[in-house]
Amino acid sequence: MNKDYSKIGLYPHNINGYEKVIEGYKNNSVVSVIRATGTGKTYIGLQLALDNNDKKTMYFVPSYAIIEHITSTINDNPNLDLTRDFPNLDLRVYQSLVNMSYEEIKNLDVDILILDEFHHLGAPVWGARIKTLIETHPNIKIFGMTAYTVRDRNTPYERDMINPYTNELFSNTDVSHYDICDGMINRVLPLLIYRSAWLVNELYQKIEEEAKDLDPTLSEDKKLLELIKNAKRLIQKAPSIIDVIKQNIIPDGKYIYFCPPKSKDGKNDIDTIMQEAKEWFLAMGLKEEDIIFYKTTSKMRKLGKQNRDAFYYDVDLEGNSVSNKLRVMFAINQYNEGVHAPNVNGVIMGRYTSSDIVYFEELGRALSVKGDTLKKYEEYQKYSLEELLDLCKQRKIYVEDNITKEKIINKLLSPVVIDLVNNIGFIKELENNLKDRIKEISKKTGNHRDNTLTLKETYFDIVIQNEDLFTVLNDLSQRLANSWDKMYEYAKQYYEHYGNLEVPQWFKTNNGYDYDENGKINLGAWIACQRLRISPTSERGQKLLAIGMRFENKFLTWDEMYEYAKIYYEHHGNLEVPYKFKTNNGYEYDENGKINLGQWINRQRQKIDPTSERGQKLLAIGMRFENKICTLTWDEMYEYAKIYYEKHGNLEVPQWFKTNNGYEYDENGKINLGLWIVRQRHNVDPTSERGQKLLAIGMRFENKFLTWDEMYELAKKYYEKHGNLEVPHSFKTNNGYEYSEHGKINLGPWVDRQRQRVDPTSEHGQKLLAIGMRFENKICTLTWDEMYELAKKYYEKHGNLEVSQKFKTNNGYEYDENGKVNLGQWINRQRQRVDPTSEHGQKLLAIGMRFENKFLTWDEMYELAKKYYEKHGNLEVPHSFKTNNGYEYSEHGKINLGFWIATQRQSVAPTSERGQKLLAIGMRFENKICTLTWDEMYELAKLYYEHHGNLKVPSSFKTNNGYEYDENGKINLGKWIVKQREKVIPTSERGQMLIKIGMVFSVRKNKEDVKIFCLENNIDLEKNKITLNHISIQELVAKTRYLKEQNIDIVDANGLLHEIYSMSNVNMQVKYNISLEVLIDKYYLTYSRK
Amino acid sequence: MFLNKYINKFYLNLIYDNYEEDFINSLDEENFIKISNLFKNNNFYFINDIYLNYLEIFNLDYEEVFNKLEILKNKLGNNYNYIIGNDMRYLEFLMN
Repeated sequence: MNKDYSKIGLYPHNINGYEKVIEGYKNNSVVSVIRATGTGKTYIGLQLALDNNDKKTMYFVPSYAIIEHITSTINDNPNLDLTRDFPNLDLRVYQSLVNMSYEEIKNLDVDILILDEFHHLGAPVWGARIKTLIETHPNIKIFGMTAYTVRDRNTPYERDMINPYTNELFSNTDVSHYDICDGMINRVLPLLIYRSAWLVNELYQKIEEEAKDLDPTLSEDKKLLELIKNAKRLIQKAPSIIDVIKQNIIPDGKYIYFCPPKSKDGKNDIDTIMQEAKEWFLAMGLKEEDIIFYKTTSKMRKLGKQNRDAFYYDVDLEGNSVSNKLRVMFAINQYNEGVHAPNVNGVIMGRYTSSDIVYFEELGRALSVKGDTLKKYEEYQKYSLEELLDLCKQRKIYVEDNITKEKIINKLLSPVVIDLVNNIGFIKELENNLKDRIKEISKKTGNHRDNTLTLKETYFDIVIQNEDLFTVLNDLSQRLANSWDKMYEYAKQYYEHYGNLEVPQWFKTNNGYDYDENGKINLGAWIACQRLRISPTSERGQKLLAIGMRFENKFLTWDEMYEYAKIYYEHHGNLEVPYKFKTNNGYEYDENGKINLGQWINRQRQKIDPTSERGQKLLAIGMRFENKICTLTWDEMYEYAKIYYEKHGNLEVPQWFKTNNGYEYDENGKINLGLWIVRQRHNVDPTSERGQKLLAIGMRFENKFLTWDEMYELAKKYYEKHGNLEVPHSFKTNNGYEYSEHGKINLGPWVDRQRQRVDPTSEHGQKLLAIGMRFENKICTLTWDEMYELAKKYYEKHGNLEVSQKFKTNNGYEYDENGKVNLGQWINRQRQRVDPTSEHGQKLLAIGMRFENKFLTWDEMYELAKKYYEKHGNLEVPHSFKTNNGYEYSEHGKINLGFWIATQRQSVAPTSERGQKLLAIGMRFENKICTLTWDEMYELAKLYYEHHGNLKVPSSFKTNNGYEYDENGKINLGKWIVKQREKVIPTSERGQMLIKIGMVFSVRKNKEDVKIFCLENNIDLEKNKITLNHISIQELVAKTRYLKEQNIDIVDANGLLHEIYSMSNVNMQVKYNISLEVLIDKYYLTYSRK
Repeated sequence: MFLNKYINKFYLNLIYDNYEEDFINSLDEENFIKISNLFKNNNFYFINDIYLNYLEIFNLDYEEVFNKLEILKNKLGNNYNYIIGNDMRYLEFLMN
């Protein structure tokens, strides 16, 4: 039998909802509905109260304003009488329970509990009191209603009050869901006219303020300043708020203006806003008497209610009808929730909010139309297009040409939302949701929502003034946000969290310390950039040093170092900087100082000519050049050299040799004799008087650095002998034309260098051409950018930059045997020399450059090994030996030759072709561990057991007989045992064999404890095998207790352990702000003590 | 035992609680240092956690660990150490 709901006036969509509530009570005592603001959920509550008016019903709401609204709803309904129809209804605010004792709550007489806007139960005290009420009334029936189920969205306290997994009061109780989209689809709620004017001026002011920190001498900052200037020009032409108001406010309309809850700088309090708004409306051409303002704030109490009542009934505070005037209610929170005013034409949003709840509550005031949208829609449908256009004209509603009837009706029905504070994200989201819902319904996928599709138009009429300009400004604002000071703040955050500024270059973040793959702040790159660009002595450099910046990798210029020296001088009055003096600020010693000022000063003393410009600058800040080796005359130094010769019989003085007497080395010696000798070798002509004097005391001039002309003469000799200048690269000579293995003059490399470096048109170039120089294969004639362009062509053609080193080309992408451009060589050099983070590096990366270690072929590696052998006479390459040329160790060498040799030793059969080639260059295959079979190794292990009574073989144990350690033993029994422990299953045949000779497979204690603990805590052993195989029982227990205390699930829905169990201590500290030390102490040791 | 030279007391206690003493004694100091340095040189900022939960790795052959670590690094990309720090189960790969 159909029940009659006309007394309350329940809307059809709510009748459906209410019947579901009744249905729900058949099986449960707690039922809830979710209803969008403005769709009449209050009526459902009242219907329930009416149907149970013989029972004590307690109806809780968040504010007295809502109680007012409910009473008005009843009083305004001619079918209802509060006393007659609701004799047992007790309307209360949640707050009324706060000061009640347990006993008082227990003694409340209540059968039905209606909880309106129940998401407020997330408030701890309100929630606790309601809980007490329910617990003390076991037979109570509970009905919950709300528009939003989530409390404190987007905050750490976010809580979904119907979360099915958290055992909330209303978890799994919602029987009917009807949101704004449902309302719009059913035409219970109108669509929207949405007008927004981005507050560009305010944003621009903010930008201008931030731009004060920009440094116009820096290119990035300069660009930003230019953009800001352009933006200013655009703003001057942009429409203002008054334009938006003029276009969208109806002169006799009714609006609610939502003001911000707090005044900013005391300027935008509600009265100031009203004053400002009045100016706008006057600018529309209205007279002051045509504008009626109302105001309601929580402090106004009775006066606020008077204002609300007047606004509700379209009268002024004296009771005169003002329905033909512009009526604007200025409110903060009073209209947010559950309080409605009829026939509102729109809302003005003057309050920015990040809360969707607040936003949609405000929007709901515009949408709430007391259910007559559908009625009006049906009425307008009967109008002709012309009649509707006339109506629009009368109401001053703008309609575009060729508009459809449907759209006109929507315009007539739609309230206007004027958003002055850029809450635009929400409306776009709502519009998208609506579109999705329409699609969903069209596909007839069906859901439990109460709706049918009558809506044809799903687009809101949204106009956002200045959107493009706002985008520009927003972008600028973002870029400014990443400006130096902002970035510095992020760096500081990092420093405060990690104690250093060793930020990996890939590190992106949003807060400065948490890595975020999609982080907006590229802190790592910024730090790297600062290291390269900023001078440590500058203000910024000093700020960075204060938070742990390391500048060493930066190559400090002479001038930068000079600045430090100057600072030292200014503080100490001299430049007597101790050799080991390190500093960060130039004048204070710091053990961990980044700048080796002492060393630098010492170098200057040795290298700089006091009469040079730099020398003069240094002298000006107290430099003492006296100990410099050149203070002694040539003759004086010669005397010392002579003494050396007399003592040692030669003049082979090491370059580092310092002395005070000429023949004895002295670490602190004042005379750098070694350096002097080297200089003489380079600078003195052996045939000169000085040369002759030096030759007389054993001077060797052979390795003398020859001048260009001297080398040219030798090259000329080569040409005269050979008829060309095709000198092999490895050509050494003493006379210019004959090869000599021990030749002192490397003519080949010199000719190569000339080919690369000398401009053929220069004087040197011409001279070389005259003796047959060929410049064609010169790779450096092209600039870096030109070479880059060719590399780019290669990349575009081949999709990569894997250019063979021998690749020659003329066009960049085709190999040409006679090609003039050695692209391969160039690429290889870039790989070796260019820093991937530099500008060149970045450009190369963009066309597929690979900077990692090049994968060399076996033959290439062999060639390098051969070079090692040729240099060292053996192939005993240390495992960690890295190199670039095969024989010299380089810390940053690209080729791990040591590792390769070790791998060959393990993987190559000595009898194979490769093995033979390796043997030819001194390969030693003896320590290869896998030559013995498993059974043979087992026999040796057995011998160990028989001799030692156990199989506790140290992993470094080498032997030849199985039981005695031999440093040079060929058999790594220790490693073999380790491998067996890893690879052999204890229950297998081999496992059993090993157990027989004392093998202990388990290396871990507490395995059983871990198992038991997991069983007790429902942790799936199999699913979490890896974690559980490694975690200690203390850590497992402590982390579990911690998670439980934090109400965090220890396993997820798939039974996998929470991430904290497999996290490192550092990551855990960063993410959860707790260390392993604290966890163990608080949740394991303290618990155990208790 | 040499571990106390390299590991702080807090972690050391946990390690002794977690591993059989025979196993700890079987560790080779030279190998331990080499592998520790390998991790350190690769910016593993949570070396203590590796000692604590994956001490077995330090008993493995250096070359093997080196090799597998290279593979792991390639798999995980540039921020491999952060990824592993966030989920140390990746280290299991070095032991397989």
